[in-house]
Amino acid sequence: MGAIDADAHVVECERTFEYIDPEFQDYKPRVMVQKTDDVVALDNEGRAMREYWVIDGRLQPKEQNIGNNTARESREMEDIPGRLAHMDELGVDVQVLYPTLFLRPITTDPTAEYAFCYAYNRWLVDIWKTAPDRLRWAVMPPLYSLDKAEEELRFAKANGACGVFMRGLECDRRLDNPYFFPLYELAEELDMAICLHAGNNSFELNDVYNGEGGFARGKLPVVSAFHTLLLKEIPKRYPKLRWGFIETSAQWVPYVLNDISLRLLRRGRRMSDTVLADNNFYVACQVTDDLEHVLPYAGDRQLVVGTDYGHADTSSEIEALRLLKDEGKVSAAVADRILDANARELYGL
Amino acid sequence: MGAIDADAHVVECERTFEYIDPEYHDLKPRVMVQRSDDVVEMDNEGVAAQKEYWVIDGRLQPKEGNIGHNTTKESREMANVDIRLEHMDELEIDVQVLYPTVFLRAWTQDPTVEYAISKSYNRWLADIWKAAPDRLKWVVMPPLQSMGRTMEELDFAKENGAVGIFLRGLECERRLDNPYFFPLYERAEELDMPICFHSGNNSFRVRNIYATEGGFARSKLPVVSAFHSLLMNDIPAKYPDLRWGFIEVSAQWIPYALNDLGLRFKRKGRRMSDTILADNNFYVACQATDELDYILPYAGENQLVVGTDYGHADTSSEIEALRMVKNDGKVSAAVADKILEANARALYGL
Repeated sequence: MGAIDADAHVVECERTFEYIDPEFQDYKPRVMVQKTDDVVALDNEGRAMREYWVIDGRLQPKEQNIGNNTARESREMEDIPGRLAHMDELGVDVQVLYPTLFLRPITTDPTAEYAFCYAYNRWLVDIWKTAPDRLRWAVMPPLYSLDKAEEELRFAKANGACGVFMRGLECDRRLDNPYFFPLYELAEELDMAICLHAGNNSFELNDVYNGEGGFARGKLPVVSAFHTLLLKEIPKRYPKLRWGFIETSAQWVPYVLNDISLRLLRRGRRMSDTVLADNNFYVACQVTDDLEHVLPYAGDRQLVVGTDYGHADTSSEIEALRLLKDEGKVSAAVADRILDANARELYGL
Repeated sequence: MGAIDADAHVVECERTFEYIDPEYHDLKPRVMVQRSDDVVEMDNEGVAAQKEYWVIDGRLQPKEGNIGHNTTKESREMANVDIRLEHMDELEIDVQVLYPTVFLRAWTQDPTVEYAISKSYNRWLADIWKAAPDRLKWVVMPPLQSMGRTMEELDFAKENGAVGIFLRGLECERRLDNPYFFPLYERAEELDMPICFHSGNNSFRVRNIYATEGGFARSKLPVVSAFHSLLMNDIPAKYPDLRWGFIEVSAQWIPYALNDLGLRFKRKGRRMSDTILADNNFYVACQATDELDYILPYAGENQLVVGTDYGHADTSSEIEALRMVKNDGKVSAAVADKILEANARALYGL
């Protein structure tokens, strides 16, 4: 049995944007270094942040969510053998890679978005090529330009991507918006999972929750996307499409299913006992979840697990896969499914 | 033992706005009746097409969307308070705490409009209270865009039967841990009036994103995140005598929110108390459909209340909720009694 880290990260660096199409050179993100030191922002582990990105005119953090239990060269994929060696040490066979900077809203300019996605995706392709069996990735689609999103998905599929990265809100829209239906149709055709990762791409929501720790800004948009997709029966339109809900824990699953069942009851309908399985929904759990309580709701085939490798936040647990295996919170058979089989199903590995 | 319905509603009607100050007469909400019938919206129960709408500050707002047809119009709209009281007797409810209906959603960003309409609503509720002061309590609707006027309304309301202050999960496009609201919390503490976060949000920005969503993300989750944010930022510690209610969002999310909070505290080198709701005077209105045996160890048996959502028809509406908590055996009789009475008395200062 292998162990698949269903949620690991790359941390973007200047090298990421060396892949920007020369036509869009002026959009290339710049790095700023703070000169004054009377007011400093601290990273998630309490260290002062010095470097920032400027992207599409906005200041974005560069050092905020950095897990110092990983080497910079490993996080930034400068040293891939080092990354792989660390994975070996952690008992991880395969990682599925997600971005860092792009978990938050970055731009509403379709051209800028395309330029960044293009660069990011080509960076990931080169990473994948160095370890195609062990480093898989989720493509970042330029969602303001669905025609270009199609090109990116096709390119990414041919180059090691196993999922389509989205956040809990995209383009200031909910994920049940018909705007996204062509994307879902294509993802189904290409056998790529839609992977809703903690985060949101709504400046409106982000501004209201600016300064909040991430629960309402990053986690709840994904929880509500889960809810709305099910309630509006979006997965039924794409019966082969798989959906992942990543880095939000699984502790909310009983709560959300309780709410959905009440809404369905009001419509004279009964919620299936296997609603996640019926809809090809997979949720990345955390070792701090009350899995004994969650499992009957989610189903033992619908949970995956990730380390959040590279980061330092409430979802980060670099030993998550080993803890899941060894802690005994779930049976060995269920642990094996969470660690391997379920992730293989979600990502089509 | 009495039974206190911690979440009941009035449904606003034209009479609500007869209290509008003459100076603001032009701001009075209007009623529109839909004439065309090719496209109609159904109410929450799907039994009736909505025909009437409010126009408030130039925006169309539903008037008939969330109506519980297991209640009479006279009762919901308080046209006949005796009818309401008789129905409460039938339901074995001694006291109801009354919340608004149309004002659960974002309805204006104009401070003058907000003040005019809030003031009218509050005077309507004061008159309702006067008709049955021991049985019909209410929460004041503060005009939060004008903090000075808010203080006046709180003082008026406290003298006229209000037992709490109505807020939603977001107010004035802001989170509830924003220092903008600290004067309100300070005054509420002085007046011994709890802050009562009811399902809903007063952020057009968030509401617009979730406009056609069923209410989970638009109305429930903002209150859940307010709970989270207040605890995370230690806001209750600034007002140690202030009580906080979280109303009409169920209690099923408590284990999830506390799990997340526990992780965040841990990252900051802190340990979350096992009695965090009690420590912070937090009370949550549960629903009869909640897994109370699972929730109670997280919430604490002194921190749950229950409401019927009387007057409405949505996922939180259960007109028999109080009887069900008492009789369905999900919790012990002693705990049921607390949820039905003692805890609600503690929250609302009854």
